[in-house]
Amino acid sequence: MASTLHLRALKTQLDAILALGTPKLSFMATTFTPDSVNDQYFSDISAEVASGTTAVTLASVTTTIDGANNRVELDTADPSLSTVTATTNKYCLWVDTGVASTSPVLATIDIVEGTLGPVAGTLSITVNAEGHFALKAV
Amino acid sequence: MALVVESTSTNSSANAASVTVTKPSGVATGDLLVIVASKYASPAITCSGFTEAFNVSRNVGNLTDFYLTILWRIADASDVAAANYSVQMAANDDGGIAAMFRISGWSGGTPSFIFSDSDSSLYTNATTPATLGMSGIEIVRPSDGVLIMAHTINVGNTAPGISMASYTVTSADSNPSWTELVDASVNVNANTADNYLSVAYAPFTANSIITAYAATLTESTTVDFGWGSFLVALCEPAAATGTNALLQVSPAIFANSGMADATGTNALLEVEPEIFTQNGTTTTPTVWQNEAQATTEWINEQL
Repeated sequence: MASTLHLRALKTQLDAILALGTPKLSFMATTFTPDSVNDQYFSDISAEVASGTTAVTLASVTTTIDGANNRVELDTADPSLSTVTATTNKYCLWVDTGVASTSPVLATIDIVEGTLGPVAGTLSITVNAEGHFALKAV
Repeated sequence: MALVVESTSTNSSANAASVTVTKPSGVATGDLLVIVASKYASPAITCSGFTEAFNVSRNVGNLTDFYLTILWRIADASDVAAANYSVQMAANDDGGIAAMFRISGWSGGTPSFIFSDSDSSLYTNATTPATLGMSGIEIVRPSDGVLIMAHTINVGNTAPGISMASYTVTSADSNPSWTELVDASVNVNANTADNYLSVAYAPFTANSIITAYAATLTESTTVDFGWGSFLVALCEPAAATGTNALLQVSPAIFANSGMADATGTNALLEVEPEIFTQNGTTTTPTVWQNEAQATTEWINEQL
């Protein structure tokens, strides 16, 4: 007999957070260090959004139960910003309720390639085939 | 195609409203033309047909004021035909210095100047530094390009003997090879002050992040001066695409304390009922019995 969380409950919880508003992605300054405890709302991190960038509204947001790997995955279409001059090495996923102080932050994710510095160009993320992050049951 | 500084030209004008710069040699349509210029005080430096990328200025109302700018233009047929350019210093006695670059290899689009500049600073004559520059900056170089470093100094002295050299940038790569284009002063404001400009450039192919820049300073007369500077990484528009590794979060399920190797049993729980005794009452009705009476024989009385 093994202890486990239950995937449908995890998915339900994640769906409930996403339903609070519009899921978005913000590219963060390289100096930003996420605080997993205290960075609760977008207002807590907005001052450290990478200069020159704006928030990207995420498309094709899906939460999927991957039974084979015992996890719930969050996936989206590849986000991008055009004609951007900026420096970033990580991004935050958050849900825009319309009020920064009530918009929950879900995750901060490092960019594998390290620091990106587009010059009047397109800044984009090719999202991992499995998604941005997964919540495991065990 | 790599950006290449093909040719340059410089000029200065003392106490004048403009500086005429000879067009660099070989200008062709599509070349990127860049002007770096400085002057005493404000307002802005302009040149017809050029766009200002940014400026550094000091405007406190004394002879340490200055204006340092970088302008750009994509050459067309009119530039091919032009002989020179008039860089406007705005006021009749501002005077100033201008340096112009012709850069080939520009494939098009609006150039983006990745730059870091200094706040306008005042150095009193007791604190003249050996170097001038900025640290704690972050200039990302996404592709090949050209670094341009510029420093301007304005002093209330007509012969401060200012010179700069030994241009350096700090990054994970070695300092590139610098070419100094300008290291000159000009009298301004009716010969009451001096404006100095140094401009140097270095092509680069490295892509590490620059965290500091500096140049050495010498002056023959220590005086209060206002200083402004910038470092620009000039690159063509470049896209950047990143990827992410899936972030998997596993839950922590806390272990519960339990007994090992214990088998429980239960004894049959027998529960005896408690039957409460009842207090009962009975009522026996009283059966009235007639009292026995003797028989009475009545004898009629004789009348």
